Amino acid sequence: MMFYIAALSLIGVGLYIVLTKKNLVKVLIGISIADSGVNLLLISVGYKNGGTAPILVKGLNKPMVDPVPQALVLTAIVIGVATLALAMAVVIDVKRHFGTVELDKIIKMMRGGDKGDTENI
Amino acid sequence: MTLKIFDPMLMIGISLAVVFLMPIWKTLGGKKLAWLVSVLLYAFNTLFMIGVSYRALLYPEGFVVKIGGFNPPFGIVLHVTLWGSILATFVWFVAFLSILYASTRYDAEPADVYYALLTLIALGSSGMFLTGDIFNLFVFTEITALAAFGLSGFMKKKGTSFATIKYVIMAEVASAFLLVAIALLYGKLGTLNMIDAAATLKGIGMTGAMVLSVLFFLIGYGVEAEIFPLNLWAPDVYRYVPEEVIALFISGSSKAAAFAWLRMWVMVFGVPQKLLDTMLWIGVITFIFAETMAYSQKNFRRALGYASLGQAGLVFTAISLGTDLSLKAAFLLMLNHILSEAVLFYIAGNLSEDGTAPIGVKLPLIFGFLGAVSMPPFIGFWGKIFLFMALAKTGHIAMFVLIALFSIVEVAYMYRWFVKLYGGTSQMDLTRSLSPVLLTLVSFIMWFMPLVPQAVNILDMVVKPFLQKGVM
Repeated sequence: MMFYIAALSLIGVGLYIVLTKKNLVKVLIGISIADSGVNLLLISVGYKNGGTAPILVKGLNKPMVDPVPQALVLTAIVIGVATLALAMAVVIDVKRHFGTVELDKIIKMMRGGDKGDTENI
Repeated sequence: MTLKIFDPMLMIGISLAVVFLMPIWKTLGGKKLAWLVSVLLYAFNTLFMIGVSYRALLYPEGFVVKIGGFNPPFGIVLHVTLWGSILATFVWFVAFLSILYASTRYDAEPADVYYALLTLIALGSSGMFLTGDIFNLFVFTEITALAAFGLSGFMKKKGTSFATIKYVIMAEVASAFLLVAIALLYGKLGTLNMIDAAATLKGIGMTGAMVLSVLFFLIGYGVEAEIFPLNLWAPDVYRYVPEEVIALFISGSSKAAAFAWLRMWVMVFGVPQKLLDTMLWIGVITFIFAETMAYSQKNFRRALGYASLGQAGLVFTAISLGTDLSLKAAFLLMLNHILSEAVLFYIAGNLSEDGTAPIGVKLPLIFGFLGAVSMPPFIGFWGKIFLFMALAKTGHIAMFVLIALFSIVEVAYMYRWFVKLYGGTSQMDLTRSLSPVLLTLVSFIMWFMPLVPQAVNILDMVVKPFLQKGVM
């Protein structure tokens, strides 16, 4: 139960940051925190109290934790790292073009440029 | 048993090998060889997927391919259905056209990375069409999404950078929701195999956790499937990103996400009745929102982007209804959307200074517009008719009327754009005009599909694996 509360609050914190912060880097940090929460949630789905590693050895008499969520989380972590790196690269690109990573300023700049958005090329 | 060689794993394996070896092709023969290898791969995959579709014709419920020798439900499996394999064929075909088109794009550097990303988005979405395992579906979703992010931001222009960061943030939050949905599902059912999960769920029924799981799946796939209000990233991406990439977004990632929703909503969860109306309204509101926005657009590509969202809304409604007729409608609307909208995007990249279309693509232009508004000879017409029939049959008259009304709006602005674009005299690069012309050729052949008696059987075959046996 403790794990679930921790996982859900991590996801909550992450989503709160994504929704309220204007700075793109902070938004990505929020996504990263939410990701950790999700990973923790996945792990705790397969957790058993007092369980051991899911490896078959002789004389094993304890319960084993479920190996499937662990495999899932490994994959999810790798994917999360890759997307986060890519997102940071895009943020660098944004900074190069707009000179800022503040979302509201960028939107204002895009609106200004959008007035000429009638050409069709 | 010669058809056994049409194992979709072969397609996935070969494509991955080609992608990983992309730097080697480039060192050996430069950009030209990398391009040539990709063209050959896409042509091979298209033909191969036609073979797979033919094999799927023999299995009414689709066939299951074991991976790594583990028996289901313990190992990952591919569950190949006719619907999935036909859409995967189209993904590779459109990828083939896109790479032909991309041969004239000299500003995409490094070119080998560009081709690798094009391969990956096609590979990821065809994997989403074919997989039978929920976590495998997630992995393919992420492959598709990563390739889509890369392609979307590839040109490093001002517009694309902003469009891409919006897309990345929305899709990333969505993927977190997707994982939570999978965690909830696995925690309750203890299995990730779709067929097994559906069987287990039948015994348990829709508990609160399962309802939450459905909603999180909706958020997870809603971003890629372009469902309101999760689709706000799309118009900007459709406005700024190169047209050959957009063609792949239309045929690949957005269709694959809609198909994933079909898998989860209809096959695994079995169309939960208490959520049905909400889902239908989400689709209809997407359609209404998109058509209203599209009407007031002054930029052709933006208008097309919104029109494309409208089609996504229709497909979503048709899938969510989950009856025999509406699933057929969803299949036809999906095909129609690929055939018409992709053509229009290829043309939209080549408008002349005064905003008219080049002279060489007159016929594709007419076909594209007629298809986009679902006019009679096109399969989209049958799709819409089926959808109307399905809505009327289940007593959703309000939605019937709203969709009919806003279809008229669609015809109005599409006609306006057609008048504006038609009659240009500028010339178009021959290699560039090849892609829309070839796609139009396919849609011309598709015209006759509803008239052939065998095709009606094929439609029955397409929806059969997904038809619910009345779960809840």
